[in-house]
Amino acid sequence: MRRILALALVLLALSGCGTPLQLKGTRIEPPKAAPDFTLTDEQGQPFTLSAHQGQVTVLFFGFASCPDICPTELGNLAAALRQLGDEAKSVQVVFVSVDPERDTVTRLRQYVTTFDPRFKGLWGEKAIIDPLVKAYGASYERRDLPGSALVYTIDHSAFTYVIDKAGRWREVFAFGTTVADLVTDLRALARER
Amino acid sequence: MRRIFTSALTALTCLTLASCGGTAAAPTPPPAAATAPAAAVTAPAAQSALTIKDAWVRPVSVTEPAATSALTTTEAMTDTMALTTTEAMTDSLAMEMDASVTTAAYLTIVNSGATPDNLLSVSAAPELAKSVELHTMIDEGGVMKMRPVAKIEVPANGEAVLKIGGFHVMFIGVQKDLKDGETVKLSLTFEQAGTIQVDAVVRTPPTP
Repeated sequence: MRRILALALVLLALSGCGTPLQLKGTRIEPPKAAPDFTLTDEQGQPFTLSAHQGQVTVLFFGFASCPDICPTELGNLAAALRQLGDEAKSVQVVFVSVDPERDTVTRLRQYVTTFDPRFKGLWGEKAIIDPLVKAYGASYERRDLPGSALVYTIDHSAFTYVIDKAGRWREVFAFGTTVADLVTDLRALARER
Repeated sequence: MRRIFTSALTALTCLTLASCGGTAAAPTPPPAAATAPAAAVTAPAAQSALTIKDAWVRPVSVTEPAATSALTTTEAMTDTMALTTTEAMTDSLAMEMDASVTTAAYLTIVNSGATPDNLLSVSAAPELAKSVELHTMIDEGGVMKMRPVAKIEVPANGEAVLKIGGFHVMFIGVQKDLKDGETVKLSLTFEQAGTIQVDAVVRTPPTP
């Protein structure tokens, strides 16, 4: 019995060779062309996803008044970039605001650069944001908070979407994915040609 | 030694009993507090069965980091979309804009007493934030929904944990930068225990 188990393990290990990249996140299989978009970045300049081929793009939808979930994920991504060291040059973290009503270019610049000066913070009209969010299978909804000084909040999905250098959407990270897993995957994708 | 322990226990029991009758709004320290041993559970509120642990606040910036502040306003407004945004920032939206900078505080409340208590509110120095509220986070199939709560229950002989992705103290309309290593004084008001002061340290949370 033990011998069979050992053999099975060896076979499993061998079968790993030559197979497509093993990713820690949820793989998009087969990878598909990432839905493209043009939004305004935190410097007031247009940002077009497809113009950034050659870089791994890491996409997160959130809002700048978010005190808990967004800063946690952005903090983890910032830590991942630090651990990637020089290889972080091939990775672009992009925060897309799903609160175009309250967020502004200035506010997004202030918000994202708090985590890492290399982060991009993108703003776009609701008419552009809505189909984009849908295309990635994300969701958001403005929700009034009567009696709260915040006035309203944004209920939103908290996944992180990863697009490879060829502009293909490769995987999705769940909220709270460990920095070690983020680093493993981003490094592997950064090393692809 | 045992006698000291026993008297300390007696004092604590008296204190616990005394606190039960007190009103939450203005807790007047019972006379016993003056002679209470230093062995009290919590330093700031000797009559309380509650201990506050690991209080911390997420750093926040209301100004721009030096690295990017060199960018002039005109450069930022070259794009038409950026112009639209800037135009949208009229006076009518100014108040909402002011509330837009937020951060959160997290802590653990340990209740060593036999009666449950409720955290009703938290306050901080008014120059720090416009409003401080208790919020929770509900994860509904990956969709994060933040909601205000009226209170946070601290079970008897148990604890309430305010942590990322759950209950948190929400600072709305933050007025000044909070940097790593700074301290924020918080006042926690409980239904039974009255007000407890705690120093929360500003720090970047460890990553998973």
